[in-house]
Amino acid sequence: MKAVAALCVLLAALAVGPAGAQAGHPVKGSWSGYWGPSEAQKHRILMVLDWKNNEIVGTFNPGPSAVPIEKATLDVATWTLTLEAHMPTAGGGTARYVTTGRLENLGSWNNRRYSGTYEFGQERGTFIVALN
Amino acid sequence: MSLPTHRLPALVRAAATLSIALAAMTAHAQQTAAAARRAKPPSAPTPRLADGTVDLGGDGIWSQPWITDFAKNLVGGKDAKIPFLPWTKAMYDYNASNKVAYDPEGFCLPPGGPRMFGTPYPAQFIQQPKRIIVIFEGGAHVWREIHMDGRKLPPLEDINPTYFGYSVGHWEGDTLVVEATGFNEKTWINFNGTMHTEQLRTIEKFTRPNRDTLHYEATIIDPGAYSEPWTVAWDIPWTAGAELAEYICQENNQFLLKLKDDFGNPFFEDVPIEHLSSKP
Repeated sequence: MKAVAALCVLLAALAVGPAGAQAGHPVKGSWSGYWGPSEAQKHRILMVLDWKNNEIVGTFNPGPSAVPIEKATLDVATWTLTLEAHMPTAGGGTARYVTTGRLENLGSWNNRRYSGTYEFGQERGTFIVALN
Repeated sequence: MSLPTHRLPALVRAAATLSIALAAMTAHAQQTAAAARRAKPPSAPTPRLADGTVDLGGDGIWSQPWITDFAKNLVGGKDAKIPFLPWTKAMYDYNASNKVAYDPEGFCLPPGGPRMFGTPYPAQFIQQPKRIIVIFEGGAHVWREIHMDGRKLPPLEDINPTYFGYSVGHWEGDTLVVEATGFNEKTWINFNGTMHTEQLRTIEKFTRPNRDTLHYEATIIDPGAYSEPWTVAWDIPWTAGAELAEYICQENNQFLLKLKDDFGNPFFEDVPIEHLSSKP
């Protein structure tokens, strides 16, 4: 089962394609990186974000384990982006997952960053993703 | 305030001298203007095809100006402003803060849309009954096709987004009206860092009031980036007898070799995600 999930993540990442110019809304695109409570306990994450009807929409980990983003807010004065969803827990349920961080290197096509802190139920940690 | 009477004659003399000088200058200016008129005759009338349609081509090229800031060419008077949404205004400010270092045109990508007519390399129109091809010397040595066969714009979701989008045109009297959509997001609206989304739609109007002038007007409609449509316009002069040259932007682009991103890394140095720390 883990192998199938890993394959799905790999296929999703490959489907993104090579980095190219992206000069529209700065959150738009696919982002990949890590999140976790420590360097030793970090998890891969893929975020696909879009700008539709003047709202940020998207999905965490597209594929069989896809989690829709329920709320997204961007403060353009500080480029602080907050994403909210309900992520699956190890126990089979879900818990509120919130990432809060800054967009940086906005002019870059391949090293644009979104990093900050997250809350996952009672867990706290850091995350960092880069635009693919 | 009253002037001392003993100074009046001097003032009168000064005024008389000034009047003579002004008269001389006026006469000189008139002579200069007359000479200029003799040197540059009035433009020839608008060229036309055999069927009477305005001919946008001919023996020459359109010498496009460099329009760096569309805000200075807005239609609507001095109070007109670009109706930014918050994110496009913030990105405009960001692009200004780094001196537009990440302008896609600096990467030799096509300017796309209306910006192509404000990019300072010449252009020519190849006018056929069912299509008009505009070829550009600069902007990555590109061309643009305008369908003139009466077709309508396809639905946006049916168009593969491209730098120039999908264009259909028709004549309204002597004005060529072109509607375009299906733009990708790899361009800026202008040099100053005005962004757009894939929702961009443009309505362009081309008129040739005389042989030597192409008046260009473009309305930019993008609800994902602007709160309302906005319009820019400028004139493009004709250079009779000139030809397009071969210009390849990609050749020896030293700018890209030295470009660094906001972190100080070479722009094209890809950092594998395995190297990213989860520490922000």
